[in-house]
Amino acid sequence: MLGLIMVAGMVPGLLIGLQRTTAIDYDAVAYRTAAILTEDPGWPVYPAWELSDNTGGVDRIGLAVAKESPNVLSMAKIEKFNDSSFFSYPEDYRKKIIFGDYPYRFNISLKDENGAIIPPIGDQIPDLGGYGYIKRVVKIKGESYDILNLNSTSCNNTYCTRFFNETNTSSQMFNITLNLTSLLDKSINPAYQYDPRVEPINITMYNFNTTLNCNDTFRTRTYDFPYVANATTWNDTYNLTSCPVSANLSTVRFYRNDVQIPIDYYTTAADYRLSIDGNPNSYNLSPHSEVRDNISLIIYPSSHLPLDEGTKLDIRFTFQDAYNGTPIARTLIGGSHEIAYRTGNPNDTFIQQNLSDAWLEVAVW
Amino acid sequence: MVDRIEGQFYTMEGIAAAVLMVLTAYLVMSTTSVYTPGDTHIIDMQLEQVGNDALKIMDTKYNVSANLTDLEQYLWDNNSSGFSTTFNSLLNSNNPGINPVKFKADIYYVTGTDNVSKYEFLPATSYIGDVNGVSVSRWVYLPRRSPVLAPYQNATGNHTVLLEVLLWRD
Repeated sequence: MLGLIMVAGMVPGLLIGLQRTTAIDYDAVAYRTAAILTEDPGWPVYPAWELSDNTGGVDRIGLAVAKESPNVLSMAKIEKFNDSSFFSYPEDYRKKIIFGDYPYRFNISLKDENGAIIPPIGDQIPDLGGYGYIKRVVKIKGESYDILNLNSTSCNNTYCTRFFNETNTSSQMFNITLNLTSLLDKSINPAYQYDPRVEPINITMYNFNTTLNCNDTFRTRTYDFPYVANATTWNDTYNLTSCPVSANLSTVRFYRNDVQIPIDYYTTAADYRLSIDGNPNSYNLSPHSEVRDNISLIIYPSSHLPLDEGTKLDIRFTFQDAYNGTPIARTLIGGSHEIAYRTGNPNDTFIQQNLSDAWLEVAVW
Repeated sequence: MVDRIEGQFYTMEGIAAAVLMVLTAYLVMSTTSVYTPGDTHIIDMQLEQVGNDALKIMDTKYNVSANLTDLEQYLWDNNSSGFSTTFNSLLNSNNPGINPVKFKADIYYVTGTDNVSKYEFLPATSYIGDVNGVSVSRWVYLPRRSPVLAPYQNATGNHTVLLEVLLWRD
């Protein structure tokens, strides 16, 4: 009796060979994998899996922007999906997108009309066939950014306020606001929504030299710092004939609902990138550095700023000289600018890239 | 009369038989799922999936401020060659060495008398094929248009038409 039961117990093992040779099964697995990748945002949704610090925090890899907008893929998720230093191949992929007990081999590729968007993940597809395959047509949502041309005449009205008569302020503050209540408005399809919790906040300001303070009061004062074009020595008195050539960015600070967010503002971190005048090195958030033309700030979602629906994030740029001996700010930029969806106004600064066509292919064998 | 020893044997036999029956049922259930019958519906499913995807993608706006989707624009302009080019590139790009997917498209619309009429939007170039044809469809919203360029359009009000695309491989 015992022998009979043991023999009977081995029968399923004998039949597994049949499962492996049935190509039809692979098509179904390929279909399921492609459906998860294109129609599912993955799990967990919030905080999004792509922000997880370790693979244990990722239950399922889905690339869709949201459940409500299938076939529209998020570039941030695609990049994380392709991060070979994060996911170990092939175990993590098998566990989090292929599923099933059988150790399937696979090849997942994402292409657009210009070629591969990410290198194919997986093994070489067998030449002789015998693999399950499916192709899905998708759209890819690129990253959004805000770009401010300070030379534009509309700067006065819409981007920023210039205090042209200001002569007695030692610092100027320019504030960039993200109001998550309006950005995450439910009436906007997630495919076109900008969610700063999962997408980078990317701000560029350029043409700084057009905001410099060049009024008479500025030029006839005594300075102790050589920040003007023809000054070569400190602690000298100049009756300047030329205007300053640069502003001085002293600090960048983040505020949540008008309360400063307690992060380390004095050390450079991989979670954000502050670059000045095209310098490839990132500054920390207290740069005290000269700015002649442009400032670019990217805050990556991995910074985990405490943002949720209903909060307001302010990014405050303060322009002040390192030594408080100068009573007058060198730049006239000030006021506040809100990052908001385009309304068709030619002065809109927020750029959302068009959704682009791509093809996702999954082969399983 | 059954004595004590016999009773024990009957009980053991009964339990063993029960175990055997449960085990057999379990084996039957677990082994039958291994035999997945192969049929051509999977091929149909792949074609249907990529066709539906292509229509969905063509009916997605590039950005939030676009007025019409590509698909709406092609139908609005009665531009079957534009539709054909875009649909073909979504279906057949990146497919080296695989037979291209062929397609034809019809539009069903409601006429003033509540009858449904059919308009041949994109006629087929050839009807040679060796795999089952698959039909995919999508409701397409058309804002009113004047002058009308096609019978399925409406000069007085917005309406929705049914676009049906038949797909097959050579």
